[in-house]
Amino acid sequence: MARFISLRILSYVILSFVATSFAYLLAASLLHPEVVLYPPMATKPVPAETMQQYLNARNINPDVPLFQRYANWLGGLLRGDLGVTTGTNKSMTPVWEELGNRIPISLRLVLLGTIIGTALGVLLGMVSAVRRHSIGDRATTLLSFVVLALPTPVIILIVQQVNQAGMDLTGWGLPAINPINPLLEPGSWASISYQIKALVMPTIVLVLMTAASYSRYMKVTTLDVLGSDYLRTARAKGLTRSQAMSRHGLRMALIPMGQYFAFAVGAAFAGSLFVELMFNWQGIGRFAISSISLADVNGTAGVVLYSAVLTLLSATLADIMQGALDPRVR
Amino acid sequence: MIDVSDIKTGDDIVEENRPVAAAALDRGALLRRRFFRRPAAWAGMITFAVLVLMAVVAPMIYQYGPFERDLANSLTGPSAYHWFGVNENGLDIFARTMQGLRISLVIGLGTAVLTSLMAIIVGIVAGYISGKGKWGAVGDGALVNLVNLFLVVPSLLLLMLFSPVLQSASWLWMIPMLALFSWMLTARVLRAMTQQLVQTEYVEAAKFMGVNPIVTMVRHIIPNVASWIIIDTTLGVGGAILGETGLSFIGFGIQYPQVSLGTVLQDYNISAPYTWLPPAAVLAALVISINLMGEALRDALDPTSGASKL
Repeated sequence: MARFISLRILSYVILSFVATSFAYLLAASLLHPEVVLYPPMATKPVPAETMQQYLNARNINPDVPLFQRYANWLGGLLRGDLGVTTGTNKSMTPVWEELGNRIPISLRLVLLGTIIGTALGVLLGMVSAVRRHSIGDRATTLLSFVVLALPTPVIILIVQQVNQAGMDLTGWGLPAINPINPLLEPGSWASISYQIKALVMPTIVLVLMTAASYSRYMKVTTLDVLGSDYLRTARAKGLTRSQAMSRHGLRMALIPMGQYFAFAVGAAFAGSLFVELMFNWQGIGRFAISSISLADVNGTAGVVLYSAVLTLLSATLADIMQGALDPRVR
Repeated sequence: MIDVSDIKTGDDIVEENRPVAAAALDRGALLRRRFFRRPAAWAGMITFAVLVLMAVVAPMIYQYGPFERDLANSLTGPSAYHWFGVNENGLDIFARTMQGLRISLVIGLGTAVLTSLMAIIVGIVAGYISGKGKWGAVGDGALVNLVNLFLVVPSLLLLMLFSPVLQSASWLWMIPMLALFSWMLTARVLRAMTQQLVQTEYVEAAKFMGVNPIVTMVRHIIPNVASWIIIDTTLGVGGAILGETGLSFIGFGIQYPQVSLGTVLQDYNISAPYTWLPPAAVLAALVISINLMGEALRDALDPTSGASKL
């Protein structure tokens, strides 16, 4: 078990390292932060020396070979330094600081959405497989079919529009945008309750998306389990349907789901990007969009690193789950 | 040794079987019957046909273009002149939706075909060589790791990096770009299927008869996984459309001289639902109709598949 897990972790670490390096090289060659250096309103050209200093301080000098810049970035990464923001954003904020401020905002969204969505999806998928052709099964299947056919922005728009309609009708509704209310005193109950209320709609969106795909997968695997011999044996030795299902069936049905979970967090990250954009949350997703559009090489690399670490953790978790559920891989 | 009488017997058997085959349905007719029996297939086909017709005809006959501004009527609802209304910037929503539908259709179909092509090449080659000695295993391992790498890279972020650079050349670049990041899961499944097929007698027989590996793949392996590929391609159209509209929505997809359904959705206004409902409804109808056809096709081609239980 320990050998299996450590081998898998090693391969994930290598994969995410290659992925991040690949992304850094792409960002450094495709984005051109040096272009925004030349101020259109300046009367005199910037001295060449100042320019070199400016570019070197940010590790974006186009005169330095690409692989030298990559080596510099890698050296910084080993020392725990991800460089400073570049591009149009000239404040030179360390990328670590930027990520540190934004990760808590994004992570609570991604974690809540993934956990509730997975649990709900597994539950719905199992129930609709066991109670096949019931009204609940038809409703779940139809709903997941529709949700999976809609792009994330449309799901967000529907949720926001429903909230808006409720607000127009009753005068009470959830906060439409922003994760926090800067006018309320931080730490007070009003501020905390606002934060909780603001979390509801984005979480609903992520839960809907996760649960829709999970309930489908879960339904298929549960149906496979329901037709199996060992479940018939369990029924034959006197267990009731629900006992047999919870003792023997659930475990076997969950094993193939582990593989889907490895990539679910990545999908939740992509989903949170739209959510953050449309609910105006200043999280990682928002930072990803802004750093690519501002030609911020270091910022982009930082976001890629974050998402690689997230995928790494979820893939490892999926393997541990699979090891716990399936004695064959141990 | 083959002599004439053997061939004659072979012919006789075919002759004898022919009346029986005519009485029973051949495969094509059976598939058509299974497919057309489902109301979902009809609903999907009719909706899809109507949408394609609209995408082709509507931009030709409608009086406004996707970038014509009617600022006097900005943010007004549907009317006789502006069928879906006008958005904040004075742009006609019907004209934009129809133009966007054209682009989204082309991108969806193109990406799905290209994705399947890439997945077939990687998946079948990896599956075929995996059992062929030490070097085969090495090559297979390399391809599997390539698949895993593409699954781990944050594809949305890389698409956002690539897209503006390639869009400056042509909007059609969107097709290979989206395909590059969506072939992996199909390739994985095809690899597993090929590994099973390679062990069958007829593939072994082909090998011992000295048939070229490429000919074996094209003649013996691909026809056996064809039904699965057709289903996956159909369902891939919907996925590609969703990917493209998402990317366009955040501003990294289809750029100015062209307009996509994602770009139309970008101009949403919560206080005026008609700014986003029509493009969203068209998009939903498009993806749902494609998925309905795909699932009906799956049930027709492969009644025992797990997914047909859905």
